[in-house]
Amino acid sequence: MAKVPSNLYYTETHEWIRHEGEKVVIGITEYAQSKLGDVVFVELPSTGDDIESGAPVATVESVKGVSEIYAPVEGSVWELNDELEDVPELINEDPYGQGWILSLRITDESALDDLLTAEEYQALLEEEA
Amino acid sequence: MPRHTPLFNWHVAEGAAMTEFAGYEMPLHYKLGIIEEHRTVRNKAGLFDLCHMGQIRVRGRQAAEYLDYVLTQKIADMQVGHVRYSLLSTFAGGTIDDLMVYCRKDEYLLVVNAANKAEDFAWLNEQKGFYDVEITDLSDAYGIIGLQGPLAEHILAPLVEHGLGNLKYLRFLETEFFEVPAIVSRTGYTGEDGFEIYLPLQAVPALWAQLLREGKSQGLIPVGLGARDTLRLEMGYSLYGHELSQTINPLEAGVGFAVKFNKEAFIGKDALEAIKNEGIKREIVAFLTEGRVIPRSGYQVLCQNKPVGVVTSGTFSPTLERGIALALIEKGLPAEGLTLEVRGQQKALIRTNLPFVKGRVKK
Repeated sequence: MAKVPSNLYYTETHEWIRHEGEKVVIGITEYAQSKLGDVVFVELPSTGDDIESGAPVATVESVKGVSEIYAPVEGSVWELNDELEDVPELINEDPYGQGWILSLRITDESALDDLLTAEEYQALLEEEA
Repeated sequence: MPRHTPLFNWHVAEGAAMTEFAGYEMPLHYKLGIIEEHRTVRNKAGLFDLCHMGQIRVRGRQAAEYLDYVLTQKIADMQVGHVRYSLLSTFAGGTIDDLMVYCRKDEYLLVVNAANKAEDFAWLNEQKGFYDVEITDLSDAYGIIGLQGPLAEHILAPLVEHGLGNLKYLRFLETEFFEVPAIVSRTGYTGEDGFEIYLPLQAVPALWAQLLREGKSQGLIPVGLGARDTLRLEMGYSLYGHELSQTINPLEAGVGFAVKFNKEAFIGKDALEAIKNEGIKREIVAFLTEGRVIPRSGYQVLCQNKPVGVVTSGTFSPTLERGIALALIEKGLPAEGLTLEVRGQQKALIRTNLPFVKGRVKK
């Protein structure tokens, strides 16, 4: 069974979200990377871009297919994981750590309440299995 | 309910990522992933579960005549032990399936795509008419294991009674494999040297495990459908449903070599001859992309912002480490200046010749 760290929020589209003060760090879950397989390119936005909740914010290309990463909450793009440019497979190797994708400066912290908890996400995975 | 090959439990126990393909639940890749599996086939050897594919036996007094009528390839002059690539055409020249014909001593074996086997069997029966032939679907009797890669002969030779050194590409022999009757052909879908081993379906799991054990020291690993697709696409081989279909004829698809106009009447001959005389309007061509662009099946090809075609197969080539695509486009377009629409943006397409990667089949 794929790991689901308890200190993170999740989405139904398999992103994870780590809340750190006024920003959130975003990546894809271990389950998502296992479904995608070998990641070969990651297309990132520009810092400062304003993103609506639910809008595509990055694109992950694996050998098998292409997958959009959706902004789990509204915000502006703060940091990008530039390492993914040369080592996109970090998403496969360490999805919750060095494979993070970007961070957003968030405007409304209460939006996090709409995200899934680890327990809820785990239940979702069990349904999909 | 998806169907399973006899290796399904083995794949699951091995931790394969499973996917539905042609009604079967099949391994997309194992733990190593598509890229590593692909490279292992190019450098060493890989083992493929091909038990989902169909086998149709045709025998009887008029088997050769009948096959020369329903298939585009020339059959009557085939020798025992030879394999030919052929197409099953409609009267209108569309393609029902592409297949391999094995000429055995008293019968022919047609090896067909998993997705089309029921349709092929029905069509072959519909067209039988007064031909004195017996057509039997043996898909549930035979299983196929593919062994592909530069070390394939080295791994397989000690395990079969007959020597493989003299077995040429597109030839097969009838032999025994661990005391099980088997057909071993020097064929494949990867561009590498290699073999396809036809066995009684129930014998497959034990011999699969045996082969993996024997080949382990040479680096043999199981390979899923993901790498099967990237390997075939690097060679520019057609995949039915992508480069070939009821609406894409063989001349457009670039497999006109399998249509023998110099034989007597066969299904599709008149239509294909008319298409040939008039000249095709579309063609399958090969493209490379630059940078971080991976073409995908269904992406639009444009010429000066006008749609002129569509990608039929596209992927990231593990060998070239860039995007590669086959596309069906209007014939006669300029070689330069075509673009690919990727999420609303135009990306450069570089026209190239097939294969993308040089093949190493043993001719």
